[in-house]
Amino acid sequence: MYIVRRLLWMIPTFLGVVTITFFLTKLRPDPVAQQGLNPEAMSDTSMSAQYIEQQRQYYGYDKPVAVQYLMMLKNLVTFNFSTSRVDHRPVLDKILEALPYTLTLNVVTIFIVYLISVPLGVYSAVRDRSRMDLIVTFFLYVLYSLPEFWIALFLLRYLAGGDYLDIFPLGGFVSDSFEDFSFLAQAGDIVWHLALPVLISVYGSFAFLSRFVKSSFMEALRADYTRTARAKGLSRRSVLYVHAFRNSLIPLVTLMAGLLPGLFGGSVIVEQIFSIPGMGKLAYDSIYANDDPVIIAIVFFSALLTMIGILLADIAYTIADPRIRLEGESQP
Amino acid sequence: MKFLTGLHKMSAPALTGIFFVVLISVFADFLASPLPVFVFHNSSGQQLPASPLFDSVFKKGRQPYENLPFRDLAREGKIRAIFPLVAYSPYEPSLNEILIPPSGGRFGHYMGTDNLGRDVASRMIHGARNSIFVGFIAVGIALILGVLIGSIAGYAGGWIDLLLSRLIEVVIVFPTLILIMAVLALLKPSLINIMVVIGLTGWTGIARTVRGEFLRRREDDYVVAARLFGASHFRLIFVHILPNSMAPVLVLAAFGIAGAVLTESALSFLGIGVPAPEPSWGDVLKVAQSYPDIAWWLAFFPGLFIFLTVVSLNILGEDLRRILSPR
Repeated sequence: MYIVRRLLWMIPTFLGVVTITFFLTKLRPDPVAQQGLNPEAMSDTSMSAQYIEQQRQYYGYDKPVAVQYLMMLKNLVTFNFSTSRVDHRPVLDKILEALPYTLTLNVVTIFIVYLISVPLGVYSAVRDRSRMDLIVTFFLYVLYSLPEFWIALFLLRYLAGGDYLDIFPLGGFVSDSFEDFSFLAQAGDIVWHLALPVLISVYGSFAFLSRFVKSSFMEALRADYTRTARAKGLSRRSVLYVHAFRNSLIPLVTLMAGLLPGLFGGSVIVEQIFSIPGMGKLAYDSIYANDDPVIIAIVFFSALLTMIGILLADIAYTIADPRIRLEGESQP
Repeated sequence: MKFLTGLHKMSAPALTGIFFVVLISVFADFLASPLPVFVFHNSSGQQLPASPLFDSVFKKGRQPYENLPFRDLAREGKIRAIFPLVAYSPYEPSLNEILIPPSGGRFGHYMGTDNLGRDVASRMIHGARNSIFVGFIAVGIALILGVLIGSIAGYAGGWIDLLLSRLIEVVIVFPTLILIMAVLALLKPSLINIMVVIGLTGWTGIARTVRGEFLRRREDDYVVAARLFGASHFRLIFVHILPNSMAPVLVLAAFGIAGAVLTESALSFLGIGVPAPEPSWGDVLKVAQSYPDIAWWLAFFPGLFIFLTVVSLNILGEDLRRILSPR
């Protein structure tokens, strides 16, 4: 019952997001979309007036904005995402083409972030305010504050390209001759191309996650059940890693769900620097080409996944910790 | 201000760093300018204003010496003058000084020059102004929006809360950088637009925190007491509950400024930040991208400035959090 209500509450939020996107794309002056188009002024460019008229009719720009808005809503509800205005390919195809790159990059990134942050956070919690904890915390904040585009410039200069060390490729996702490689060589090629982008995406996230782990672990250490376990005479190891650690994992589960939209959206900056043709680059290119069917579709999916992520987090929370009830205060 | 006494060791250098950057941005005109601070004498007997720089800053449009080549005159010994720390303008291109590495001495390019022969040190100093302004104003906008919406939602509850929570959710759910890029594509990038856009997308965390605080405190004894004495809603919100809820907001603001500075430089780096001739740290980095092998100074200095500013703000935010957290 609760989930149904939550799902229903997603509708107005969703409508808001889509409406904002629609008007953002609609408000821009655009030769094809503009209502008061002057065919004479366009004749000297490569676009003929007839072609423009055809395009306007195809994308419905000749209709009033209100009608266009309703058309877009209808299309979204029926999962019909139209075609790109730049290359006239189905929007869904373009997204499905970009998605694997972003997914691979982000799944690897998140895996490494968790692999390193969780032990760091636990360590910091157990040795709270020790010298080592302070050093680790400080160091993580330094990493967190290093602009990724700055580090990327230096990594590319010194580790890729050739002038200094030619260890990694300058960009892209696979080599040109990727198709001819054996399976192992293909996997190796992807790892080789992913190394620098993953390094850039990873280092800034350690601070946030390990702080998160630390605070939830410390909360677990202070909890009554931990004190009871200790009073029972259980070993320190057992208290720390069985009782406290398992309970401190609960918030981590919820955080996982929050990662869903990031998995899809990708990082505009990393993809731009390393010329990875993923979702971030697609979004960037579409915005500057005023390719509104693509923009709307990206925002649509992104928002959908974010909301599903939030919902999953809430549900995961109740499953992991039955003391929390969904009704009442946890209202979104 | 009691909490300031408890600041962590790292906060002193962090605060100093922030103070330093703010100082640079406030006095940018006096730190980097082709106009001398003071001209002592002039061998050709012409009357010169005593301080062209002060005139140009304080009496805009009334100085006849704007285009005088003071640097060359001083170099040739025709005038004796005191110049600012960096004797170059952030805009002035120079065709025969393209991509010069850092050099010291009088009239040296302390941080080199860029692809148009503009002095990087001067662009950094004037860029500090843009970057810091964007950070502060954007967070200012986010603070106003977040506190207002959060407090009303938390105080009123009921359907108003439900409605405002929907609004908060819309902005959270929207992919931030896409929203920023779309708005900038629509409005054309300018300093003000960038501030407003970053502010408009950055208030949700503050709003949620304030809302939570209000939900927690609106039935507190002191609030009930004030209500019984007939305090208005406005008074209850802004005089009684809000001051008690500001501590976590302060922490978010510190992190917010750091985030805004990073966002602005990322936008400039992508080429959609502060428009062309205006200097900004991210803009210098963007130029560096085109000359990775020949001009290390173009990448090194702006990145260092961004990093030091952001890390100072983050350390400050972290310390504020540590001090203000109840345990």
